[in-house]
Amino acid sequence: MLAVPLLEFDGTQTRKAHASSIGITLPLSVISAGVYWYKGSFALKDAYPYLLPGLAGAVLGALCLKKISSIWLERAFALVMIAFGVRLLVK
Amino acid sequence: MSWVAGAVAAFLTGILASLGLGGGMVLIIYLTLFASMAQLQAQGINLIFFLPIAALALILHTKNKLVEWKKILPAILTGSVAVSFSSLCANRIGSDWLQKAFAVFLILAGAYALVQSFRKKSPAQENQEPK
Repeated sequence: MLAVPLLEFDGTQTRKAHASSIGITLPLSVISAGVYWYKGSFALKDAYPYLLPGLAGAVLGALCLKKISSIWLERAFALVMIAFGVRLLVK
Repeated sequence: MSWVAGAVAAFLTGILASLGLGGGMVLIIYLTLFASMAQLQAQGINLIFFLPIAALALILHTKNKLVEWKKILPAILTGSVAVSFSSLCANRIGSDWLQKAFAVFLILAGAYALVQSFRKKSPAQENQEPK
């Protein structure tokens, strides 16, 4: 949520900011997942059923990112930020 | 039918994650509200789920020359230190107020970005971004 606006603030184009943000979140997620796994918060096998459809979605998303209008990408991201903020407030 | 709903949630999450829109929220909402899973377990599954999806998306985006590796390297290094530190301190500091403050920030920043996007130009008028 912070990586995209910060990259854009640094002059990165919208599409590149969204793609590059994944490069930041992936290694950080590896560390977080390691901590969760170490604490025994979940079993690895619980994630297996979601992997194949998730990978298919990732391929479609990557194809879309090349073609999607950057203004719609900005709008979608703004809506996701608002939705995520509301969810954090009400959970 | 629950496996269909799970597959749809995972597919949508994959699309949003690959678009850099932080799709994890969709899977977490599905796991907690529809699969009756505990929040911590859902977050853990979402994290593990994200790793291969993000890796694949990153490979495809790099092939499409959309990743600014030189720019993000410092962020990866400092972010890794911050995540390691926050993981160690997670149980020692009250995170409730921090979370609420972050939520308000997200809502305000999202609303601002939305207004700005409508002020800039309409999608029909938008020209392709320079490469």
